[in-house]
Amino acid sequence: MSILAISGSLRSGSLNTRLLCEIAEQAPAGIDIERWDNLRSIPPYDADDDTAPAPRAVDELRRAVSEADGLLIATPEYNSSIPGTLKNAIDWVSRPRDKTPLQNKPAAVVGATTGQFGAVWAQAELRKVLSSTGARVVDLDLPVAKADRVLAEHGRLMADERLLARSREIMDDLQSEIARDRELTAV
Amino acid sequence: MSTTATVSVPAGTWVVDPVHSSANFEVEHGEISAFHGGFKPIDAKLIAGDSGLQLEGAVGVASVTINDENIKPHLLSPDFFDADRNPDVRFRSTEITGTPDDLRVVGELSMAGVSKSVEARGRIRGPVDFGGPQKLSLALETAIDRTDYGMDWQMKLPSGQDALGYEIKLTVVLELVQE
Repeated sequence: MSILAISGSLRSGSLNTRLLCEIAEQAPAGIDIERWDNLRSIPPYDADDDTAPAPRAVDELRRAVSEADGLLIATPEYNSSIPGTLKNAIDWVSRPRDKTPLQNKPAAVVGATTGQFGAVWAQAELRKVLSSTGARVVDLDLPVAKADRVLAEHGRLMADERLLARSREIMDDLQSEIARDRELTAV
Repeated sequence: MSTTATVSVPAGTWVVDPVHSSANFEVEHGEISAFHGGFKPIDAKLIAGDSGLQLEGAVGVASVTINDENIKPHLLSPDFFDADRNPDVRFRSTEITGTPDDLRVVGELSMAGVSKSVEARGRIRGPVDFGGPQKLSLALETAIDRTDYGMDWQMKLPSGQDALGYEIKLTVVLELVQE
């Protein structure tokens, strides 16, 4: 089972990229979490440029989403919402609307911030955006708050047992959705 | 199960003429106007037998047509029809009663993984002979609460109104040809 992981943060020391790595480390056997880290190369969406062939990074991302069984996206929170770079990438992959690989794609959302609420608004926003594209979105969040301090103190972001449990719950739900799709396909 | 209706339909199976049939929906938009959509083609048949009338019909969810195609992926998603897992909307009558001008059709409407009993009202006309096989026309309307089918998505407009109403009006017009 392959999960494509995307961090909405470009920063080299990104807390959200680290969060994805921690989730990947704890993933059960049989779950292959592969990170796609070329968000920086996605050009601004312009319908005039949305022609064949698509810009190379866009083509890569569309193919990666299409080939993955599910998505796991970690988002920071900028101005109560998701980063423009992340939304821009989703806009590219969501088009053309009748061929988007996001249609029915199982997807889960997590997030970390240095603030006290753990990117809950950005995660809600991202779930809303993904649902609009037709994705099958896990209705849970993973709010990792004060992430820089937690990391400095404990050496990892999911030091709290409740966060670990929620992370497992999200991945279980994501796995279940993927498994259900496979069963339906096999029938 | 079927019961005797007071309408008179020659015995046999009557199949849909998709060219002259439609299945449409209407939902309130912004609490002032309406959003419309429809499905095509329609698969339907009316069976007239000793035990009365029975109506069956289905449409493919992926065939949904709306005025803004950008909305279609969301409409097919788990927030609404969940088309991948529930590709059809189906109806099967359990009771047809009434008169030709005041027909009452009760049956199971199945969509988005849920089956619920609904009651539609309408009229039946014919049979008539246009120069080929005999034809009937059946027109039905009903209203359902989309939350009964797990479609509870909502978004507030900037002015505070619900973007989308919860009551869905369904209108089906069938032209049926004697087999």
